[in-house]
Order: sequence, then C-alpha cells, then structure tokens
Amino acid sequence: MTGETPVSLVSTAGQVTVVNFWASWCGPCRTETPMLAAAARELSSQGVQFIGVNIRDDRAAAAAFEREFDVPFPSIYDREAALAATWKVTAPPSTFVVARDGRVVASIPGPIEKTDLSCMIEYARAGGSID
Amino acid sequence: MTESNESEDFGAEPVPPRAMERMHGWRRLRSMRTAIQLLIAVAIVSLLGSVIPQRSAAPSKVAQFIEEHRFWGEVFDRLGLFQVFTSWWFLALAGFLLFVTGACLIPRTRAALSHARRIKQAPERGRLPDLRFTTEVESELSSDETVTEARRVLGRRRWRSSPVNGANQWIAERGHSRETGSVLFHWSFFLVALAAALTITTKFEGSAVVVEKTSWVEGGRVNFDEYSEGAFARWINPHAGFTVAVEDFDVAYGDDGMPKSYTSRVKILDDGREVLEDEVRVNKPVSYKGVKLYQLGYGWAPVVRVTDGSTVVYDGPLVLGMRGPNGSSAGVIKLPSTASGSVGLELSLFPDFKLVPFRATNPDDPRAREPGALDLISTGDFGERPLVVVTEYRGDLGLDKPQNVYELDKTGLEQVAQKFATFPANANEKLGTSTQLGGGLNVELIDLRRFTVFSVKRDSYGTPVAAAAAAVMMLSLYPALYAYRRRLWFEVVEGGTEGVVLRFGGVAYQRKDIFEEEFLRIETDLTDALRGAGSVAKKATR
Repeated sequence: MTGETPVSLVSTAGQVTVVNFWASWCGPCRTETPMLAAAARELSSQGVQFIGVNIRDDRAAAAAFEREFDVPFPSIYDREAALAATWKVTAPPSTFVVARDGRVVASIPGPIEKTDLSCMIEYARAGGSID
Repeated sequence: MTESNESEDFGAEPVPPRAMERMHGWRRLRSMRTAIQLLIAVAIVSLLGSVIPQRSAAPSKVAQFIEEHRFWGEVFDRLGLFQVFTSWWFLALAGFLLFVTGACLIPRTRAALSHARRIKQAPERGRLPDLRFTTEVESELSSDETVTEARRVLGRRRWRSSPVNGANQWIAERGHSRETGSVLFHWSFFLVALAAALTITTKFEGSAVVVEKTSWVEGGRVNFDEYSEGAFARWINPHAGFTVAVEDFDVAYGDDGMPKSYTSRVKILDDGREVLEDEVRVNKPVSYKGVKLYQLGYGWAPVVRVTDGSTVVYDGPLVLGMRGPNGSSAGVIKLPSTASGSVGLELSLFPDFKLVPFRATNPDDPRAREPGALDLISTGDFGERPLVVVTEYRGDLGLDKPQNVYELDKTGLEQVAQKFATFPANANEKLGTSTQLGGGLNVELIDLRRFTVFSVKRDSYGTPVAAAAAAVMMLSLYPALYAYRRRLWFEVVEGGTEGVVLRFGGVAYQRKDIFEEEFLRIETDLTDALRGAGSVAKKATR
C-alpha cells in the first residue's frame, strides 16, 4: 500500500483509471477482487490503470487481503475513509472509472461485474461520451 | 388555527357568480378548513409514527413487529408505516399543507394591507351600516373644538380617527391589531412548518465508534456505523468534513462501582488545523460547524498483533462487543488465508477477571458433574486485572456469504484451542502478553484501550428559524384573540342648549356582548370632556 495520507489522484491524469474502494472485512470485496486483479493485469498494457483505496481497515489485515488475492495494483490506505467521503462512497465496495482528462465518468456502488467494468472502461476511453 | 366567522367584509371581496364557480376549487383549496384537515392528517400520521416502531430509531423492533404480525407487518411495510417521516406520501402531505397554508395566507395578507390603506381614505357617504348604539352629547365648545376634543378623548383610548369626505363627519376605529396579529400568527405558523420540513428533510444522525488515540472523520455515510438522513440531505451535503481525534476516554465510578460519568477528550481538526479541544460527556455535546457530537456509549478495544510465522496479519485495535456483565466483551479476527489455512479467532476480555466455582445454569452441562470446575467472570469494568481468552477456530469461515463483521459464523468452524493472555502492564510469569496458537500463529496483546461511541447529528438549518417563528407565533396570538374590532362614526350638528351637539354611533365586530359597556364608557368620557365647566371637568376625567 502506498501511504497513509490520501494522495490526490492527479497522477492518474492522461490515463483511464479504475478506482476501487475496498476493505478486507467486506464480503462482496472478496467476491469481486479476483476479477479486478485479472482485469488490472490484462489491461495494464492497454493504458488502463487500477488504484485501490482501502477504507476503515486494519493495515496488516488489508495487506493480508492483497497477498491472498495477489492484487497487482497499489492501494491508498484511507483508514478514516476521509478520501472515500469526498468521493461520496457510502460503503465498500464501490468502483469509479476516471477518463483521461481526470473526470469521473462512471461509477458503481456495490459489487461490480466484469461486463459492467468493461463497459465503463470503454465509455471512459471514448472520453465519457457516447457518439 | 382560528377562523373568525364574525370577520365581516374584509378578505372576501365580492365575486361575480360565474367567476365564483370557476374559482370554487381554488377557494376551497386555500380555505382554512382544508389547511386544518391537512394539519389533522399530518398529526395523525405523526401519532402513527410514534406508536408504530420506526426503522430509523429501532430497526430490530420493526423486524420483530413484522415477524409477529406476518400479514399486517407486510401491509405496514408496503405502506411505508415503518418510516412514516421519510415516506414520499408524508412529505407530499406536509408539502401540500405548506402550499395550502401559503395559498390561504396570501389573500388574507393582501386584504389586511389594503384595509389598512383604506381606513385612511374616507368611506363613502351613505354606506354607514345600521348602528346598534347611537347617542348625542351636548358640547360647550365650538364645533371645531368639539371635534378636536372628541378625537383627543378617543385617541387616548386608542381609537384611530379620520375625517369622512366632505362634511363634519368622522370615523374612528380600533382593534386593527386583531387582523395584524392573526395574519402574523398564521405566517409564523407557516414558517414553523417550513422550518420543521427543512429540519426533517436535511438533518442527519449517525453513530461512530472511535478507539482512543485514533481519529474519525465526519465526512459522510461511509464514516458511520449507523446512519440515517433526511430525504433532501444528499442534495445539500449536511456534513462538515472535520476530523475528531479522541485523545483518551475516562470512566468515573461511584462508590457502588457503577459508572458515574464518562468523558471523551477530543481535539477537532479542520483542514489539518486544530480548531477545538474539548470534552464530550453525557448531556454535554461538543458542537462544531453545526454538527454535534453526543456521548453515547463506550467499550473495550484491545490493541492486538497477530503474526502468521514472520508475517503480521493483524496489527491494531480490535473493537469488542459487550457479552456479559462488568465489561465482559468479545470480538473476532477472521484470517481466511494463513499459511496453515483459514482461521477464526475469538478474543474474550474480562477486564477484572476472577475464577469462581462453576455453577451450572443447565443441569445437562457436563461440567456440572466435574468436581472443582471453575468459571471465569469479571468483577468490574476497571481494566485493572484484564484477561483475554483467545479461542482458535479452524474450518470454513463462510466469507462467501453475507455475515456480521463482529461475529464468527461457526457452522463450518471447529474450536481447536483456547489460550490466555494479558496486557504488558499486568504481565507476569503465569500470564504473558502473547500466546502461541497452532500453525505458527501468535497473538500478542499490545495495549488495552477503550473505544467511545458518539451520536453525531446536525440539528438542522431550520431550528433557529423555527424557534424565532414560534416566538412570534405566541406573541401574535394575544392581539389575534383579544383585540376586538370596533367602529364609531361621529358628527357635529347645531342644536341643544349650548348650540353644538356631538352625535355618534358605534358598531362592534367581535365580542358584541361587551360593547354596550364600552360604548357607555366612551359616552361618559365624551360628556365629561365636552360639558363639565371647562378645564375643571376635563381634569376630573383623567
């Protein structure tokens, strides 16, 4: 995990970025993480970046979760869920897709399916508009 | 709300019959009767809301109600009766009440204002109503002086007089404050209702568990353990976004060993800057940016480090739930992927432990037949002699199914070991701070901390408005109920022994029964002022 201070996601600018809010104690997160990990591996060569935000969790437990699912993408440790609150997340899991220009173009509260994620990424690649 | 059936002409301008028909629906809508009917409906619903358990206040009671009244529980749920104050139909009803009250107030206000203007203009001659009371008073003064004196006497009794166009005729009125008071009363009622609606729809309320020496952010729903908010709260974001750092938590005990008071020492940080340092106690909330923190409860949160071989798999405070008397509490750590498989740990804390002879509550308990069996209890909630029992379970944690974070689902689990440990301050040869479990797992107790539970709410933007409006409502009630409207007409004619006669008559619009007496008093005052030999008589009336 990257750091305790919620880093701003400015570094994602110029790349389509998937932001996933999760916690090790969250059941649906366990269900969706293998899919997210696989998608992150598959799409890393195609300019799609994944970032996790671990919220309201024990840091060691979160690290154990990352090892268990062999999560390839980095996560921000947001123990107080301060970053999550500014993203208007209500509970983990919650997934956002950010377009190249830094705008959040799609989000799904709750567990995400592979087809939804693909759709959201395609949409973000198109610049967040359907033409 | 009051509706004056004696309210004579104003507020109801004559309407031609056809227009009347067209306006019927609208008039009915804005009538006081509709408003009162709606008010009664809102009151009945509010009453239902206080009798039927509400999800926001007691979700378990709602579940129990549905369980016990299968059919009606279902019907009530469908009708939204378990959350009446946030149901769309209640909001619609309340909104409609506000609309109708507003609609009924606008014409009344307009009428009251135009009436206030009209009194300054002269009423047309010949439109004087039949006067129930008329009398004549002879005057020793000249015509002009008589009028001046009469106006002065009436003015002293708060009659406002003005000349009627042409001739020596005058009109005097009092009791305007009745309609002013009434209009003000209804407007402030409208405001109270509006403020209440604002409060209900924009407030939020939640609870937050914060361990000593950690902090918590008032950011949004995600930060709360339990949370509810008004229907429009998410559109306005009622959250203040500050950070609450809990320095420590203290319980003061009485002589009987019962907690007397408890205190959370907090620092409030806004944008990284410390802005407040205070104590949250029962009935003494801390408020910042309109958000209040109330002391709700507390419990134990030991800091635990679990290692799997050389890997740390848990390292931090573990929030325990109350399990028995004197602070006996327990919590769980779920470790789905240790080197030796999936493990569930249950940590039970006895803050002041004692071993006592086992007393069976169930005669079938095998331990009841065991001689010298002991039981572990806690004799106090002070944390002076803490003991933690670590129970190790192995098997299927069932994490693929939705489950409680604070409990183990033991259906697929088997208990394999039970070990004991204490905290550094109480460690000794018999009782160390760490305990070794199977498969290279080690549990180490680092620190015994408490957690505090805050109830966090924004009382609302509407509260000060409601308080001010309620004050105006009470004040305006007095004139609205106890000011009576009356009119007098008077003129000066030639005649009588002195050559000048003041003729006057009056009419009352409310409390006609006491008007005769008032009228006689005015007659006496005027007689004294206009007759009794000059200045001597005038003084006598004062």
